Amino acid sequence: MSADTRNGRVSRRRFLGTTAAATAAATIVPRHVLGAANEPSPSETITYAVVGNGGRKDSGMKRWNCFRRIAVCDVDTKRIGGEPDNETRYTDFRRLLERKDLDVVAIGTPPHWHTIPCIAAAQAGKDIFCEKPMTKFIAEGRAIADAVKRYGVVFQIGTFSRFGSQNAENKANRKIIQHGLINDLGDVVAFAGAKNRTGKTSLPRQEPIPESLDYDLWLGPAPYKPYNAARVHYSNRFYWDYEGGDLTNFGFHSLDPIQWIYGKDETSPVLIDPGPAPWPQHPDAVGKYSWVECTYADGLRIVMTGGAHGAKYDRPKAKSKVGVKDLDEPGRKRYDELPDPPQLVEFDVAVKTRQQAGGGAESSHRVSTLMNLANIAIRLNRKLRYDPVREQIVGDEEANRFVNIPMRAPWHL
Amino acid sequence: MNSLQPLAEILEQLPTDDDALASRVLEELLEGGPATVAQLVEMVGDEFGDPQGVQPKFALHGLAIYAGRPGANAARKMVAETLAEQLAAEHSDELKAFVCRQLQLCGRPEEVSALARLLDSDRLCEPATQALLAIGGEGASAALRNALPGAQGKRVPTIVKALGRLQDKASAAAIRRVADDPDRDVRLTAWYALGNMGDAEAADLLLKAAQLEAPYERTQATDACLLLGRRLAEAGDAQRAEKVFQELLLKRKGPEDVHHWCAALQGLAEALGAKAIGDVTAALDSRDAKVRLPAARTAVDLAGSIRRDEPQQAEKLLKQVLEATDEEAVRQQAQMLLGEVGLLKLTDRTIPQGENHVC
Repeated sequence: MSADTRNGRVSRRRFLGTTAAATAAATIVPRHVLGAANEPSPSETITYAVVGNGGRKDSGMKRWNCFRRIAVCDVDTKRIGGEPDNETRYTDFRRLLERKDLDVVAIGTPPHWHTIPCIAAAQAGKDIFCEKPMTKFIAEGRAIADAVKRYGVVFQIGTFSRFGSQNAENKANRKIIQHGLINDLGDVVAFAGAKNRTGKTSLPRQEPIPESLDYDLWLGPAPYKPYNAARVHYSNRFYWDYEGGDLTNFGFHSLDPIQWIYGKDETSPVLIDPGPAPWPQHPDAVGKYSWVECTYADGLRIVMTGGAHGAKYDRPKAKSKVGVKDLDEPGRKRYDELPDPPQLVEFDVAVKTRQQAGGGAESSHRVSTLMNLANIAIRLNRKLRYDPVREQIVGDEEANRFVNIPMRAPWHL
Repeated sequence: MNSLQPLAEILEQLPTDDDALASRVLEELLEGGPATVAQLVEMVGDEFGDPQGVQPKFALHGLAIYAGRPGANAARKMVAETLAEQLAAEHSDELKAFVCRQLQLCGRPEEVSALARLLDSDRLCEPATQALLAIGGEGASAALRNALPGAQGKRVPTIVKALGRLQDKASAAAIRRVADDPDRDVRLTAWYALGNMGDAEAADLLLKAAQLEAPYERTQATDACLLLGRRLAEAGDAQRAEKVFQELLLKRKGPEDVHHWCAALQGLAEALGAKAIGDVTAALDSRDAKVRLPAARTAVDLAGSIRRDEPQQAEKLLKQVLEATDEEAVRQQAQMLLGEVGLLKLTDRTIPQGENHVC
């Protein structure tokens, strides 16, 4: 084992795991067991590195105070604060993942570059904090969820609306659905809003690649396209090769708690209606949309709305959320007797105790699937039928070509 | 197409919120036949990002999708055939790459040969390969297989990776020959390809690579071994699959390799079913939480897969899971399965085998 033995360090979490095993200790070794007086215990500091040090940087990780950043990695040397030294500054995440003293990888790259580092981190046994949206196409999400499960690592998506929504009302609604106090969701329409910015359909011609940027590595699995500054660094999200526009950019925040409340963390809609969107969409640049209606097998409809464009959603609906008020008297009595939903596990706790975090890979994959299906329907301008078990679009070969888009070599799922 | 209306004016109507108008415009373009499609390609322009090419791009992309919809076979044939012909015309590489990307959407097996001719181009090998992958089938596999011996530079990993994705076993021997190529990208894509196609003859090669010291390569080779094991099991070769997983379980015992060990255990359980219960049970007893939780997940999956044939063993395993972990999601799954196993056992007692109480 060569890896990062230059400093002779072994991950504190790994050290802890080994020690715990050797001494027959419990899952978590509390500070008073291993930490000397006035010294931070190994169990309380977990190391992480940022892959993709752009706009978000590691802001998501600052939610918890037990993590200590030891390195940053970006394909643009302007974003790592100097020349790469492969100690604290990296340009290639593969090199970073070789470090044995690294516990967690925080991924803040553009979405077309989420899947490969996520899977590589799992393969290297690192826990993962990944910014939203999780993926750019559906098969990527399945691959991440499978890798996370296979290698037994912890995954947390970088949105906390599911956690934030643990206010009394949303928790109550989750409880109602979870215990089947309302079965008929056929008249419920839950709305998830997003912005509606677009890419430039008329870009200036090819521009010189900045010296600080490794453009080939920035493109990664995306198809090669000549460099233009408008395609990279934030505005990348408005080009289909790298993200799905604001629908996926902001949609994740609003869809995540809805999916949780309605108990859809392990399934996907069966019918997707793109509504009235401008068509054709540009092959490169993301265009506007009005709304997309996604219907689940039990009749629940989740509608993604794009704000100020086109016709408003005007289909019949009885209510836009369920609540205690919808229960009859026996239902309310039953509601009072039943336990509340279990508390969602925060990432820091999950990493220390080896549990599944509240925004785990499977649920995040399903949120991404909602948005990716919506975008496929918008791009194809037709309704889609989806099989949530096989994770394939039914009876539409061309649509399935968007489900598992080939990656540029050497990258693959 | 209305010959009195210039093409540029027609294109100005796109994109539109009006579905009927969009269909009318695209139908009008389709009526223009191959000449109109070829003219649109010309109008996109040779230079990427040519502002004059915006509207033709909307139209061509729209046509590729509109003609590719289910049931539009005649339109698809015309559009795809014409696009394929354009790949042999005097256009820039960037324009041909754009055409390849439209064929990635609407191309059919009939367009394989036109795409195959681009596989010897450094710039066009990648977009042509992606289109071939989208089309799939034996024709695409054969085209890529035939291109591999002459490929150089970045074209090698592009083609190797594609053959792996297509699970083209006919190319296994050729890929094995590049599995120790000096170029890391070639080596790593070869390992993936051999694993994904379930090439049993690559087992020793991949297991050896998994012992390399370079950490990134070691993890990639290990992943290829796990993939190979799964593919062998899917193909019904449980014996060879077991050999791969057992070898990993043997070689990945160190604390730094816990994740690899757990992944091998999962693979073993999937490959062997009830025969892996002993290994899984032992892992559930581990004092290391990093072993215990993945093992609990594996145990739940295993119990789920054997619950009908081996309900007693499934029940015992699930009870062990509940003792081994406090993880809420796993416990919920285990409890649900226990309920199901209980029902199955109850059904077995009340309904004599072979007696149909439904009809």
